Amino acid sequence: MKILAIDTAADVGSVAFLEDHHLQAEYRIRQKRIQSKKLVPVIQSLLADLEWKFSDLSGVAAAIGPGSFTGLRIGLSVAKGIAFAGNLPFTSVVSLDALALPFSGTGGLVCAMIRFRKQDYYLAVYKSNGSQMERVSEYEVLYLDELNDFLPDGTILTGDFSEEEMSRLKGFIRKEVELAPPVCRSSSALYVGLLGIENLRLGKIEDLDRVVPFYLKDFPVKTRGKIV
Amino acid sequence: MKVLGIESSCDETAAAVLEDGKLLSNVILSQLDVHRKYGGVVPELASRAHVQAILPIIREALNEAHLGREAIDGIAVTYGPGLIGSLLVGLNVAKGMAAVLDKPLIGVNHIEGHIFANSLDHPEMDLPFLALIVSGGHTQLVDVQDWGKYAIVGKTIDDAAGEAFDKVAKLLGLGYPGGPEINRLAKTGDPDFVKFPRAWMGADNLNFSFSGLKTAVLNYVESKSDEFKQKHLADIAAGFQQSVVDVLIEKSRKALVRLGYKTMALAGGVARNSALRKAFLKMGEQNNLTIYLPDYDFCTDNAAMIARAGEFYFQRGQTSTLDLDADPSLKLPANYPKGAEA
Repeated sequence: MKILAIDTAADVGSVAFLEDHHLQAEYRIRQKRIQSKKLVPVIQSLLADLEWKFSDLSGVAAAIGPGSFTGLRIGLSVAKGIAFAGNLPFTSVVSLDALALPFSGTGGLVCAMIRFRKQDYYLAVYKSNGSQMERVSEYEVLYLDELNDFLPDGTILTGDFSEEEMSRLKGFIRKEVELAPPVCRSSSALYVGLLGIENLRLGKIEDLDRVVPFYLKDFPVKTRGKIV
Repeated sequence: MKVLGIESSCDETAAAVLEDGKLLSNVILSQLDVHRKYGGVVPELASRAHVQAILPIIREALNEAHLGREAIDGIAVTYGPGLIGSLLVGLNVAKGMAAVLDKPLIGVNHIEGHIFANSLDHPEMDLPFLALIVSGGHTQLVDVQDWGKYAIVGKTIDDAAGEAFDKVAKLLGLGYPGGPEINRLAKTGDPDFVKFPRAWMGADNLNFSFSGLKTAVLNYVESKSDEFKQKHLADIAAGFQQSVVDVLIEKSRKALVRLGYKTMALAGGVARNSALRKAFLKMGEQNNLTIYLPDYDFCTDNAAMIARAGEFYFQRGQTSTLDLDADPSLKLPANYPKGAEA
């Protein structure tokens, strides 16, 4: 099964092609501004390098959120255009689930985090059952200060953050937590693809027309009392 | 040649199919209900609504045209100006489709689309002409020297005409969007009951200003009792509307004289205003001018006009690369776009 996977939920934009559980090609860049410009050309170029055609694909997977509202809409719009034009099954993957995936082999608890605003994070806690990650909390948006009540002791923190931000995070937390090593922290469309393939195999196909980003947060509209 | 047009620059999600100038379908989903309670378009909510609506709307446009997606020869899509989050949805769906279908993508300037709206009903319209683009986001007098070759001869220095309608409607306690409400109410009012100022800004100035007018209406309303306001609501609406119409007419007339043109076209949502249409037709009769008024459906944002502009550039072989990005402040091309020779 050959699939296209897209992840534009956070700072890194990423595209991957997988055949079954095997990565065939990937593009990743930490540059949010170019996602709208580059996403489709990069998909075309990787496909050409693989000597694949869109018609070889059995599905499209995209990170649905939570994450950057604009990023999610760019990735999902491209996925919608491709899946609609190619009449391909579409499946969505929660971005936090994808971030937690590299820890499948570990025994402990893992908290995957994506920055929402400066002091707020999207997050969820997972427990490995040896081969798969099982989510053991709700998907949450929490303020830094709220993390202490939320995180169980012994949790491994992961997220696609700089060393600086990781240590800053650690500084706020009074629980016994561990920071995931950099090698496991990068977000990647590969993880979206691996979970996406599982979804497609299980027949978890979404209604392409109706699927929208998983924003997690309602958008508060601030109205000015009077017209200016 | 069949062109699929896609438009998502503000608060309408739209798709249309055009075959050799003939419209096969024109589907529009307005987000008015999403934004009504806020009295204006909320960009984040607009973007969210576009993601939800875009594929059903495209699917419906193709179905109504009785075409499969692979039967499309090219995809025209608005890439600016507009709300960035809204633009990104239509543009990226279009790019994804163009890649898979291996068909050309034609990026269209939304304002240019509005001008092209006139050619949907009048494919043989004479060039050059003067275009007045009046909408919630724009008020511009454009010298259309040729399709694709434009010079802006006048524009608003503050509020767009449609914005003034919306704001005045709000301060009069009318519904949203304000344009149609004021238009409806003004029909029963006396436009001479109260004379609001007209911003001429000098005899030769072709620019517009509607901010002072809005303030004048506000000051007038605040100086009156509620009872008086209720009694004369239609008169106030008519007086305001007349002030906008007078300025649009007079500046257009001056621009026509300056350019030596005998033809003009209206474009944009405010071109639906019946008083404005009537006034332009009258000016045309009195001065022996040809006045083009777009069909009501082609005044407000739609994808038929985007498909029409796209078809024009496609026929010329001017298509876009798939790294086309949205440009929220895209300018009207002063010359043939994308570096081609004039």
